[in-house]
Amino acid sequence: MAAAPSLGEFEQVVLLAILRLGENAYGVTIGAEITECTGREPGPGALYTTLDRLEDKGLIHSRMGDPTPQRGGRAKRYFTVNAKGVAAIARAQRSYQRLLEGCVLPGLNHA
Amino acid sequence: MRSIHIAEWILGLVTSAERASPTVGDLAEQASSRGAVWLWSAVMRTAFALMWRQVREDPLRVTGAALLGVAVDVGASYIFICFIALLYYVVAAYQNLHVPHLLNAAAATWNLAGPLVASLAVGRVLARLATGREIAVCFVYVVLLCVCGLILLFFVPTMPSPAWALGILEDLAQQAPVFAGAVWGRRLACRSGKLQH
Repeated sequence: MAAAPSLGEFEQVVLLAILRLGENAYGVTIGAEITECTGREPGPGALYTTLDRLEDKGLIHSRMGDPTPQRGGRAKRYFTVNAKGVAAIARAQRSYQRLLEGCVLPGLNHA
Repeated sequence: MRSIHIAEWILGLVTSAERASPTVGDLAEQASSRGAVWLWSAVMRTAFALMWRQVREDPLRVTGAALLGVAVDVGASYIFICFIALLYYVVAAYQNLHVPHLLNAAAATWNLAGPLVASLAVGRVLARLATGREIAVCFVYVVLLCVCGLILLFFVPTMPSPAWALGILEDLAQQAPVFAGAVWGRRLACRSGKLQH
């Protein structure tokens, strides 16, 4: 049985952003969602390499939309998280939750 | 719109066309509010990140291919030097007999064209050794050449330091045909179906 793919911090951020956006998750909206939620604007290089890596790991899949004039006639590439991706992000978040249990952090109560 | 085509071509060198096209579309969409400077900065940062990912995915294969490229380059340089020496020997031998200056011209032409042809050939070899990672392997090859050059200069410190910097910059400029050869190789691989468009 193949080992479950491990997720880096930014990979988790991108997966969560795609999950939050639902059907409207493409490069621009994913970047905007991450900026809005984390206060940090992801660099385009980091964002697109992470999206490619997640797709190559089989955690997300993409479909092409229709080309639009404001994008120079280029289509949008919409992303969705598949079941494997959901399982991976849930597992990673549970690990964080377990680590947080018993920690006393300002503004958080996980004790 | 021409700039979009160029940006798509640049990204297409380090990823598949089906990924390059929507990525450029995303960047163009954001560039409408951020400007052309941001667009080109984003295109170059994205291209470098995608290329670096190819290096990180299989560093041994990429570095091995680049080292083989360095070996090919050294071999080609020796062949080139031998050919030039032979040509000048022939020129020197026949000058006493007042042979036309054709041989002199041939030697001068080869002196200029030889390194260009050799670099293009190295680029083709690199593209063949690392199909799908052509630009990444060229990048590692150039870095290796620079490191080798620096090591040589460190052990043979005959040149003053400003000349070192100029020499390294000149070396980098001379590697442009290597990238051209690699792009040519990638194009041929796409045409033959070895590589996804």
